Amino acid sequence: MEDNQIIELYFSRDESALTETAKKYGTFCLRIAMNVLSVKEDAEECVNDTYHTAWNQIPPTRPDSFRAFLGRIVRNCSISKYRARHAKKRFNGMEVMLSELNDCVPAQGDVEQEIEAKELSKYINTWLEGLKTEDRVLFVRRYWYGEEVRDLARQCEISATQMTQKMLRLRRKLKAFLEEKGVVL
Amino acid sequence: MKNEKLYDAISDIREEFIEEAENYKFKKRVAPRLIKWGSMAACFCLVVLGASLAMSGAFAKKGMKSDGYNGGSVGPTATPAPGENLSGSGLLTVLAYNGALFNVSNNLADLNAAGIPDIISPEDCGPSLGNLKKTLNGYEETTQSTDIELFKYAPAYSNTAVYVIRDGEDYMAGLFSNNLPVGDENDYSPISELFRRYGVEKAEHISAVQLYSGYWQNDLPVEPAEKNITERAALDAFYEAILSMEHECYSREERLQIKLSEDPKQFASSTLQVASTICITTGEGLKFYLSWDEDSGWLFSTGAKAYYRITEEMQTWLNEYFK
Repeated sequence: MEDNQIIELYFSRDESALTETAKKYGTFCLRIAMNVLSVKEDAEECVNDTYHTAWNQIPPTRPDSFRAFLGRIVRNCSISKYRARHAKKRFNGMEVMLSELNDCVPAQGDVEQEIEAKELSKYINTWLEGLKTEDRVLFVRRYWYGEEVRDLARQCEISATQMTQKMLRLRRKLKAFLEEKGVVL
Repeated sequence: MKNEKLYDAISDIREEFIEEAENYKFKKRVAPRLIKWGSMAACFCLVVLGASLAMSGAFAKKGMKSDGYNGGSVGPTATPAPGENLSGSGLLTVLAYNGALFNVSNNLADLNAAGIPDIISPEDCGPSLGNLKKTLNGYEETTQSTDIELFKYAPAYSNTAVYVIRDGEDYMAGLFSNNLPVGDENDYSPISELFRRYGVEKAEHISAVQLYSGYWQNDLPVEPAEKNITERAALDAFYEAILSMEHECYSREERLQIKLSEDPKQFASSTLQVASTICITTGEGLKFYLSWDEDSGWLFSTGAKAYYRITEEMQTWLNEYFK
């Protein structure tokens, strides 16, 4: 079923919207949640919550990209779960991803005011726009979809070590870009 | 945590990047051995070609020009400007203002559904509330000077349900659609707050309560109302009944828990079984809607993002006038 047909089901409050969403995007959502949380039960719970959130937000929201809309909800749900259960130290995927993102945190600059997440997204968008397509895709697959480095290496047909170096260079580039813009986290 | 802040910011990157990453196929890399033999073969071909051209005297021809081919470079992909994100039914974009989200529209059906009779024009502008700027998601307040301005809606009294937006020479309505731009499950409005947004602070501010079959919160009902209550005494009783529900206000999760505890076998999802929609028309002509789940006894407002459990007083009113 086409995305706009599924969205119409949400608008007419037809519960088959949830079934159709699960049919088309269930695997996609589960993949993202698993990449982040690494625990199947938690990931499945997140995916179910995602359907409910979608049901509550549509209407009034009419997403332009249904895939991105759902993916964003899964990500948010996953980080909430991670934060809630952080003490249990079960979430390898997220731990690794967050420790890698430390490389992108800019050094303290002159401007002492902390940037809002929304504003920060704009900077990241600008930075992504300037990257080569392949680098941008790699960055988004790693830090938005949460795909593992070794999987990305396999897709690019390079070694995991080479991919690790590639990702490190990308993170340093982002850090330099944010510092240049005077961003303080 | 700073890295978590980065994670959150990455969540909100542009949708086109997310789609691109999903659909992109990495180029197959040529194995080194193939590169080696391929290069040798290419060199051989060049030698043969060069020799044959030299023999045919092709290089001797004067005035030979390059073909001017620039390698097929393509400009950057056009990305839609913020606010150009047009979708169906006249909804242009959204406005995030004063902790709430508004649909920005100049579509006649949207306006009529909200009780606004005609297209929005400069005459509809009340006092100016300041400037707006375009963002990736729609319009937002700004202290900068821009050519986008937010006004109160002049023709009808409304606390916060309707605004007028002037973007250059275009005039649009900002129609209340959601209490929070970013969804927090536990932040929702009590029912009196929903009524207050539309300027209803006492019973006299309501001019009609109608019943439609089906779910109509975001569209103009096309069917005639099944019931149309306009008698003053009935409207007074309706507002009293609404106020009796002030503390029966729940989030989706809370409602789910209540339903589960009441009937765990029957209920597996949080969806409403909406059978009817109640349309409230204010004295100023504005309209807003409540979904009615008759079987389990709940009212729901998309706008206020809240579920209201029907009290005995409200049930009595509904039985008397809507059944």
